[in-house]
Amino acid sequence: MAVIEAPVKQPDVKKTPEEKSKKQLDQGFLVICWDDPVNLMDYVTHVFQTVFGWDRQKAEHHMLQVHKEGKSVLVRESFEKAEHYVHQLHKYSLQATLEPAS
Amino acid sequence: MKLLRRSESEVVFHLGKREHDAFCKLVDRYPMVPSDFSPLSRFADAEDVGGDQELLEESLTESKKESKTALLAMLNDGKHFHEVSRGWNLHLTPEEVDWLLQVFGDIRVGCWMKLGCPDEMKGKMPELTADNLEFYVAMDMCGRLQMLLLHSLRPSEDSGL
Repeated sequence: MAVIEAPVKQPDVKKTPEEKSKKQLDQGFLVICWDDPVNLMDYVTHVFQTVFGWDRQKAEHHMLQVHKEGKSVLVRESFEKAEHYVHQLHKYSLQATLEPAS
Repeated sequence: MKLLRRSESEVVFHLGKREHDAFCKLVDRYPMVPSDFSPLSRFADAEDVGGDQELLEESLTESKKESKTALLAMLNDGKHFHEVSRGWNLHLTPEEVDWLLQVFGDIRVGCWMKLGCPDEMKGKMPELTADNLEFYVAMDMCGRLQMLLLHSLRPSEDSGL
């Protein structure tokens, strides 16, 4: 007869950035902007120029990628930097996330 | 609202009296977008980013609270709005123009959410009623103001005006 052990409740400890998986940290995080049907194309271009310091051409390229393909990978960074960029993009009400680069 | 002049350090707009009233009533809606409107990550391990998500939301909430305070100050401090014969002149630094773009971005997206997140490109039209028409109008106004603000920042680039 199989014995089912009672589940052991782990302490409620959240991982610090240092404890995130080594693989993720090695490969970094992608900052992705997702398409939405409300933000104006020129506005999105301006946000990319402002947040990343890009020239108009590069910002427009990524804006069009978001518009046509539904998303664009904007940068690949450490967790902290990627989180900073996502926060900046959220301040402009853009749909942005960070995703493990693996 | 019209762009009167711009320099490296200042942009000046003119608003008629009714435009000034509409401007004040529009920014009074800020903030509209909830801080959890976008996840920090869609695919990362929730355990990895859960705490960061909370911090991000707290930070965004605090940032919008400060923005709201600054907005109220801008409307009443006598430094930004100067009354002229047929309305008001609004004096902004380029940084304040960018900040107002964020404000109108928030209101525009918030109104869009109130309308049920319509997507006209995919045939999901807004279902307009007497109750939600104001959000449609406010969303449109924000878009027009955003274009004007963008043009004032980058007049040499074609911003569609």
